[in-house]
Amino acid sequence: MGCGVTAQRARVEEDRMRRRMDAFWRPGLYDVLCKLKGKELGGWRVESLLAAGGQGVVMRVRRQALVGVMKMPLVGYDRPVSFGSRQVRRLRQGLEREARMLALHSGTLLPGLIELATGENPLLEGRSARLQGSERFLVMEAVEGLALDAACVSCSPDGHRMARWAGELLGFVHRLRSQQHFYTDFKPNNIIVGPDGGLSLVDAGGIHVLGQDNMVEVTPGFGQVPEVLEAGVLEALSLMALGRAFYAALSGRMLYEGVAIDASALSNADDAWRGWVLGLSCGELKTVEEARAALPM
Amino acid sequence: MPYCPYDRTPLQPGFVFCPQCGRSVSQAQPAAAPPSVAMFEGSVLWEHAHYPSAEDALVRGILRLKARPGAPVHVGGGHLVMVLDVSGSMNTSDKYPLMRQALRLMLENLHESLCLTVVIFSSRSEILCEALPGVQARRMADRLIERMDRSPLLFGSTHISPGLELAHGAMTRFARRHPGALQRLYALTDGQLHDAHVACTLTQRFMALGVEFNSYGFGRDFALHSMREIMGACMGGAVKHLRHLADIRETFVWLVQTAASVVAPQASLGLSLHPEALLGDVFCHRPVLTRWTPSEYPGMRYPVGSLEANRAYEWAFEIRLPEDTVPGAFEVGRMAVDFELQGCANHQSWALEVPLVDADEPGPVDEYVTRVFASLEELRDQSPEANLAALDARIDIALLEGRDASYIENMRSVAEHLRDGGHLDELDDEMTRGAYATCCTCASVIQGNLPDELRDALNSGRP
Repeated sequence: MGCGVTAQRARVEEDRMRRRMDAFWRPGLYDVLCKLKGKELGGWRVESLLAAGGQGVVMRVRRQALVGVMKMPLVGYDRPVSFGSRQVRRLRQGLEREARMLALHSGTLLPGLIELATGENPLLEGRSARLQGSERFLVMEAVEGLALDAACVSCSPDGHRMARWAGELLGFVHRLRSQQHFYTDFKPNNIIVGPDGGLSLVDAGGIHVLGQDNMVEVTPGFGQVPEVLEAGVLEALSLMALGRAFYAALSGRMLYEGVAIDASALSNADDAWRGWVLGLSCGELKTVEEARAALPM
Repeated sequence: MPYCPYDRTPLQPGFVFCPQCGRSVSQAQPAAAPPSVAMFEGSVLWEHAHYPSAEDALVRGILRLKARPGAPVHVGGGHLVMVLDVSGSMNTSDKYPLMRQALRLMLENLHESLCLTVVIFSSRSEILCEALPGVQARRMADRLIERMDRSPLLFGSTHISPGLELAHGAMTRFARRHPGALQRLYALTDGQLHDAHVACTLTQRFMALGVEFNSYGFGRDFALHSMREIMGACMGGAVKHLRHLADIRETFVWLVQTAASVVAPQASLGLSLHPEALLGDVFCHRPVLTRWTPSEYPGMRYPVGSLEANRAYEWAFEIRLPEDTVPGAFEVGRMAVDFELQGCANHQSWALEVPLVDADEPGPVDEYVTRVFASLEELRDQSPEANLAALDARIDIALLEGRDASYIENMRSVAEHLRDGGHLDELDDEMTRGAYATCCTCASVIQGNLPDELRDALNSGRP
């Protein structure tokens, strides 16, 4: 879920978000989420909605001069009967875990953690007393920029720049691996290209901790949930998702189950770069070392 | 022998309207005693055999209701209004003659307690008869059919709104004379309507009258979406597909039979819930798919129309339980049916007792309940996935209910297309109409429920 956006683009993002929610969630849910605008959540005032999907609503928030990006649980607020307290608690635990990951991996491509606030969720009004007053609001540094696919369209990066981005992302995977952590949810929306050309990753929920987590976060079209949770398998999955994120960003196509990789979809990329993306996307390059060695520089 | 208080016409026992002047004579009769026993047999089906306690689990259930054998029938009379398409598309060797036969059967078998209004429409409209009592209908059957045959309206273009205007007028007048009486409107069309947008402006007026409004699509080409829009949120609201033209005869006779077998006129379904429970949508599954949202019906009272003796009703509901529950039978609320019969208020309710156990997960699934909810999901989720799941569920339910084979085959074809990644827009209209209109009661089922003499009459083509 991409949350990199400038204040000026907030309205555009909201329009896009409404269209996405109407198409993939339910018409009406976006309108309910809009009630959050202007509200105080955990001491932060909501300025605009940025994105929603998966498990969270992402908003641009402000506390005095400090601007941040807030993530809070996303459930079917428009149909209160559709979610139970178990689901809400699971999402809250997910945010707590994400906050831990952000703190643990500060100084990497992930945004810095500002705070994990607790407070009242106005969208849970009327629900059981146990659910109220204990909402989690994860506040991170605001990330400016464009999602990888949008950046590829707007600035048509050359092979050199793409290779630099790939190198940064492989460095991130390598650093996580040293702690038995694996980022398995690479996709264009999670990779933000800043105005200075630097990269950020915006969803720490995609980190799997080997030996602790029994779930793996993957997005259809970028990876499949593995049958076994082993370091080698998770590393290969992480790299495949990364390759497919580049493939999607360059071709506009997603490799859902049953969809074959089409080399001609990357006809705009040079041969070496195309070969690297295809090798990564179809799982031929299974370790960071292999991927680095094959990276055309 | 009792007499009509207005014109002194002798009245046969059981007459509710004077056969001469048509006015209600029910006040002249002693009010029947209120039923001393419960009128309905009801049972609640839960989706799971049991649910975890101490958790706000989502429970989904169905209240299935049927009148007890021998439940007293409403004798307050009723008004059937038929709005019949006689436009050019009916001018075929089978359609008009079959509709004509069906109307004759209806007139000749109209129950004494019922009145009939017949409106025909094409480019213009005409009332053949207004609130004609049962006895007179028999006498006048030939004359009315002849009048229809000679009508200058026959086989023009298809404009339904003037016909609905006439129907509304007749129903308004009837309601003035017989306040609270059952009124049912049936529109039969076989083609696309040229004035659907005009007809839609009448919806609110029919709703205000509180009448039940259903329609029949006769043959392959009928205005499914237009008719749905025209009926709007009126009670009933089903577009039933008469896919086998000859079934119109059984169907029209069945309309008379069912209208004369009402046991609970203008009933409402009510829910009362545990204060910490949360109600989601409530649906009618049988007879007609309907969705009632919590925001539209905050009082948890739903109009369900008049309930008949020989029909099974199913209402589905979803409730989020409170968190602090303990193992055992937990009464999360009650569901009730309220109606007025012979001037007496009737109320019958059923406890919604959820079986709770000390477990993490719910118990085994009742496949039927799951399928019903899957079929209802398309009322609130128009995504292709929900659409396909609903269609699959409807196929299973139709098989279980022994519905018409061609109807099931039609739904299967549409489901197959969706499964292959196709979209409804790509299918021809006839196929989607066939799959999404309500399936009529099978002619064989109707025949099985008719008195012998009527069955013989139907089979011989003439009573």
